Amino acid sequence: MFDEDKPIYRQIAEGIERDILTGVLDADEKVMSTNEYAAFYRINPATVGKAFQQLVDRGVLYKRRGIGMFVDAGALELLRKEHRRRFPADIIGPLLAEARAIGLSVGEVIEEIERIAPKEIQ
Amino acid sequence: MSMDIQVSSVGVEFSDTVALDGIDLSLAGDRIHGLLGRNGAGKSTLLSVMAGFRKPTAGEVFLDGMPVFENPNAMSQMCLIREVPDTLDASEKVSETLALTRRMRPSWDETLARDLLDRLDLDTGKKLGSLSRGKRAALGVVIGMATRAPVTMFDESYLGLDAPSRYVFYGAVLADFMERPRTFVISTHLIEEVASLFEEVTIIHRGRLLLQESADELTESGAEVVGPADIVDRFVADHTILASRSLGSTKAVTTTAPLDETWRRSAREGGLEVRPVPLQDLFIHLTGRGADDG
Amino acid sequence: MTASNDPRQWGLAGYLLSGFSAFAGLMAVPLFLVTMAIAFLIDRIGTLEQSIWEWASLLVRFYALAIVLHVVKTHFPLHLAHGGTRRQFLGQLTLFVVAHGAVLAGLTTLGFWLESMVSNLAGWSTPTSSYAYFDSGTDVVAVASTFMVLFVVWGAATALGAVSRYRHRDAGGLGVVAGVLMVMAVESSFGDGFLFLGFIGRFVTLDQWSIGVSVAIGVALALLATFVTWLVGRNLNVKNPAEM
Repeated sequence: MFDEDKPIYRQIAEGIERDILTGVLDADEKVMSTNEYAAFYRINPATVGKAFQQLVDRGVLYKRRGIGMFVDAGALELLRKEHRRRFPADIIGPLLAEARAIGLSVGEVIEEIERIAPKEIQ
Repeated sequence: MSMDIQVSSVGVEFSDTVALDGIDLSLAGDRIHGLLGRNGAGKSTLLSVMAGFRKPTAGEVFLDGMPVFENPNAMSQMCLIREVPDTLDASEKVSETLALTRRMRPSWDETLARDLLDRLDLDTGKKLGSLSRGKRAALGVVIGMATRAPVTMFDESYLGLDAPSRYVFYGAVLADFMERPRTFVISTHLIEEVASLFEEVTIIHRGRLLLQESADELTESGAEVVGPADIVDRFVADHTILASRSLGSTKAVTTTAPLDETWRRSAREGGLEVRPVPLQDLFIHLTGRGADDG
Repeated sequence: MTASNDPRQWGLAGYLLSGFSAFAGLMAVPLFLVTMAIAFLIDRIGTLEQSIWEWASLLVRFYALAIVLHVVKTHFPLHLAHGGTRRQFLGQLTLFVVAHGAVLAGLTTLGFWLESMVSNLAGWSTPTSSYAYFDSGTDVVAVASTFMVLFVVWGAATALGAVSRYRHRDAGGLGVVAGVLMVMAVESSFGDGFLFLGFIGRFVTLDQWSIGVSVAIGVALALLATFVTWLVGRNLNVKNPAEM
């Protein structure tokens, strides 16, 4: 259920971010309540609350008192910008390190990308 | 109204040992608190004192500002369940002990009791003396949950339950807590099973308070760093090392470094794996042999 | 939920009393019948010299002891486990000992009275009594006073012993000894040694005493037992049932 890599609340936060990026959660859509998350993952609702609070602080979610947590209208754009910024360090870096480890040149990597890309972009 | 528990300089001395020494502790109301400690650390004694089952030899316990010991207003708000529940004689039936409890506890929730009796597969027609360890533990759990005392404490009472029943218990605690919050204090040594329930963790070690922190902060207060030995060493150079092991040129170090994003990222970029330390491991490190100095 | 609404405050003595009174009432019937049967037989075979119901009253004393023992052993920890205080329990226990003593005294008195009636009707020889203050069951006031005091002291002494033992397994034996001494004292003040407990009565002449004196002694003993029980019980620890 939860991998060992990160604290649970971070995994919940990242899960919500991923849902926003992939379009599962739209702007101004209501997110599941802390209690629903807590019941589902069998964790203390305070832990979920912490995840939500962090997302609110970053502008990804906003709170409507008595109703719940909603996806901020600008969240998608915000997250895209953040992930684009981190893309080189988070994705490209490890990709090239792996390529190096197995003996692929940068050129060969680019060839592979160009070969796969058309199929991916459906 | 939330019931805060204040443990004020509490000490308990027996004829030949000191069970608790100078415990100053504040447990905020309407939260799920974990109480951890090795066997003999003093958890049970602390819980007894908190429930008014035992008078401390020093200090006092307060509930919502009222002294607890022999105070009907305070003691009636508390429920402490231990490994074996307090019941009628062995020749009586489960249903009779539940009926008596119902009489004595105005806040008793019969619906919750029936639901749990069913899910824990406890036959109320059985004689108390014929119950197995697991069923006795189940009875204790039912009493503790259905009593609905504003302060409900479990002293390793559910350890006799089998695994599926334990998870029924954890689910019941969470579900009931979310529906109608109360102060839960749960002591355990099956830490990993229960860790995700806790909002706050208190560790008692050798009769003293070792630490009290929010569970989330505690899990973030340590990291396990794994990778090539020289890179690991460089990364953890300025931090306290709790444990370390090696396999060839690979090293795994447990440290009290904060698990913040920037530090993690630079560690990962350096080719290291960074993982949070499970509460159980932290507990072992903090209360192990090496922790007894100072 | 205010304290005065709290069933714990008022209910325990009543709850226990209703259960045990009904039980005692039920048990009294066969006991009386058996007693009468034995009396009838003895009268047939020889001469009835002693009230048989008097022997039955010995059983009633031990019954009183057993009940109070059960109440302390089972209900004290239970009361505390369910949010009550020691003070509340000891108060309820005192009420119970007195009320239960009254119930048993009532049944015992009734037994004596009925025995007298049956004895007269059946033409049995009049039994003598080893009690100081009455000879026949028709002296209802004396009988009732005697047994009320006796059962209350037996109950209070048992409570003292039981609470002492609960608090401290070994040192608690002192409480038991104290209880036994109190019982012997009260028995001696009401009887002349038929019942082994009152053997001191053989050495002390009761002729000058009035029933009032004996009742006063009994009441004093009961109060003493209650007070010491309070001292022993007010701070005791609730034991872990797993260790018992």
